[in-house]
Amino acid sequence: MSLTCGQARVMASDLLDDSLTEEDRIALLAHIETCASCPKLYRSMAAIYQQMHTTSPATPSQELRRQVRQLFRND
Amino acid sequence: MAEGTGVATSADLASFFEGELTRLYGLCFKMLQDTTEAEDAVQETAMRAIRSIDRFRGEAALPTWVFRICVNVCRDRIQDRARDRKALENARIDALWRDEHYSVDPSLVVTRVEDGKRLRAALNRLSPAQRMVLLLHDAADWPASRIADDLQLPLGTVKSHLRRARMAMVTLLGQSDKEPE
Repeated sequence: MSLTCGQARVMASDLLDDSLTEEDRIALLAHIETCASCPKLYRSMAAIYQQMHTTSPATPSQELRRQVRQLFRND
Repeated sequence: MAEGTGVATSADLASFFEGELTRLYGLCFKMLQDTTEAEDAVQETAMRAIRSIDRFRGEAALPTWVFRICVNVCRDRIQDRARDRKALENARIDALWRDEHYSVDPSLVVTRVEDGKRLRAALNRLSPAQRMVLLLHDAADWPASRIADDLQLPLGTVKSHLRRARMAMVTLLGQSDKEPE
C-alpha cells in the first residue's frame, strides 16, 4: 500500500501513540522513508509530545497547602 | 470513609486533599501551564468538593469524583480564557496538511516548544476541546478512554481532537513570525 502525504499525515498522530495496525505502520514508515516533507512534520509532532510529556510541574507551595487546610477548617 | 456506605465526610475529603495535593496541583499545572492559575484551580476544586460532598453517593470512588471536579474547574478556566481568542480553524489546518509541499523546520519547533511563553501562546490558539484533550493525553498522560469518560465525548471524537490539536501545535510553533495569523 502506497500512501499520499495527506493520508500519511492523518496517521502520524496514531503512530506517535503506537496505535496503528501493523499494516498501516509499515506503510506509514515506508512513506516517511522516502518523503521530503512528512518526516519534518512528524519529528516536530514528536518533539512537542516529548516536551509536554516530560515537563514536570513544580511542587505545590506551602502557602497553597496552608490555604487548602484553612478551607477545610472553615467548613 | 465509612466502608461500603458510599458516602464520604468532609474529614475524608480533607484527608484526600492532604495526601493528593501534589497530584491535584500537577494536573492543574499541566492543564493550565501556569503556577498561579494552577494554585487557584486547586483551591476552587476544594471549594466545589466541600460544597458538593453531601451529594456524594459513591457511584464513583472519591479520588475519581474529586479529579473529575478538578478537570471541570480547569475546563471552565480554559473556556473562559478562550472567549476572547480566535482559535486556529480546522479548515486551515486541514488545507495546510493536505498540501504535499507543506512542512516546517523541526529545529525551530524544538526551540520554541521549550519556551514556556511560546508554548502557552500556541495552546491558547487551540479550541478549548482540543486543548483539554491534548493536555490531558500528552501532558497528564491520561488514556483516551478515560478522557472520553470524563469529558463525556465519544472515543472517536477524543482521537480526532487529539490529532487536530497535534497538527495545529506543529503549525503554530513552526510558522514564521511574519505569517498571517
